[in-house]
Amino acid sequence: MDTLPKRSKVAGPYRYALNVMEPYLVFPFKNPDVYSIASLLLSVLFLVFSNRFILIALLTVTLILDWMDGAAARRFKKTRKEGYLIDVMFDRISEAFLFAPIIGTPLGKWFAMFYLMNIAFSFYAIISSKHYVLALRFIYLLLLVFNLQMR
Amino acid sequence: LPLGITLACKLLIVTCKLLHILDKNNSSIYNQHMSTPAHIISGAYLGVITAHIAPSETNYILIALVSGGILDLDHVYYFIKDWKYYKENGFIGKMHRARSFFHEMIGFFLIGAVMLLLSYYDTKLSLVIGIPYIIHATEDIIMGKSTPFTPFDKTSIQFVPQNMKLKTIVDISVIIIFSFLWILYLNAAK
Repeated sequence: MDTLPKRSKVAGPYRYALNVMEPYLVFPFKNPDVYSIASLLLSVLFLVFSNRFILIALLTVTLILDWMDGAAARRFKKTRKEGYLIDVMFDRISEAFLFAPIIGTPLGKWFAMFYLMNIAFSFYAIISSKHYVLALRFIYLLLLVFNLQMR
Repeated sequence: LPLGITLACKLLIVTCKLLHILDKNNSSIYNQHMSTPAHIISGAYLGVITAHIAPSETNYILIALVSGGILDLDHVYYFIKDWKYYKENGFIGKMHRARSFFHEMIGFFLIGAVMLLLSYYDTKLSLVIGIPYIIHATEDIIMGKSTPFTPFDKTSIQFVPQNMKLKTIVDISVIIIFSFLWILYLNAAK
């Protein structure tokens, strides 16, 4: 992989909404890796907490931090291949922490299957330079918000 | 409780001594990642808590402890295989060479598949095997040098400087914090 993988057009409207809000973001740190690590460390708490409202709060902050690492890289001209790999890798680890506790439930098993697909997509992105990903954490957040959680 | 505290203190002293000796000899095998006891103690605790294992379910606890450290077995394979290389060049800054793909994203895929299959049989077993493994791999990724998308991409990633002092501090902190949490957990049974 020599260039950063391009995002799929399917994610266009979602990316557009984020791009509109991006200039208004305030960054306490210039290093994008700080947000990636913070997001990952926060994800470990998914293993410990099962309260719906705590999970909604944790997941929201995690997703915002995940968005901020890419935004910080673009703002401070630090976009690089390593950054992309870190972002993708940490997203997958964060999903592992999020979906592991619900693996005993039927919907948890579906999430686990889609999680495995996401890892395969990550490898495909590296090989083909086309970024495909299933927004599993975002879907899970919606399920939590609408009280359809599986715990 | 006193027995737990004594054991935790002894474990901490042994780890400190070991790290000190290895650092003194300048041939630390621990300089690129956290030590195996730190992985075991942290991973197994989170696995046991996530799976809601009671302190009396010792078989699950034992499996979690084994799963927390089993990933380090791949280092042994590389030490034996590349012994000549390590003898000539030393261990410092070269530990990432002693890691197999089980430490990287392929490992996450494999353990995810194992967890999914096991969850149909026994969810608790699936969690006590999977979580300690994931925690171990994550700690190594953060503290060491990794090539996450090997064999498709050989780009290596590093977050923290590879310095022994920092590793020792993190290692000891993890051992202290999780020893305390283990004592609380085991004590809750009484």
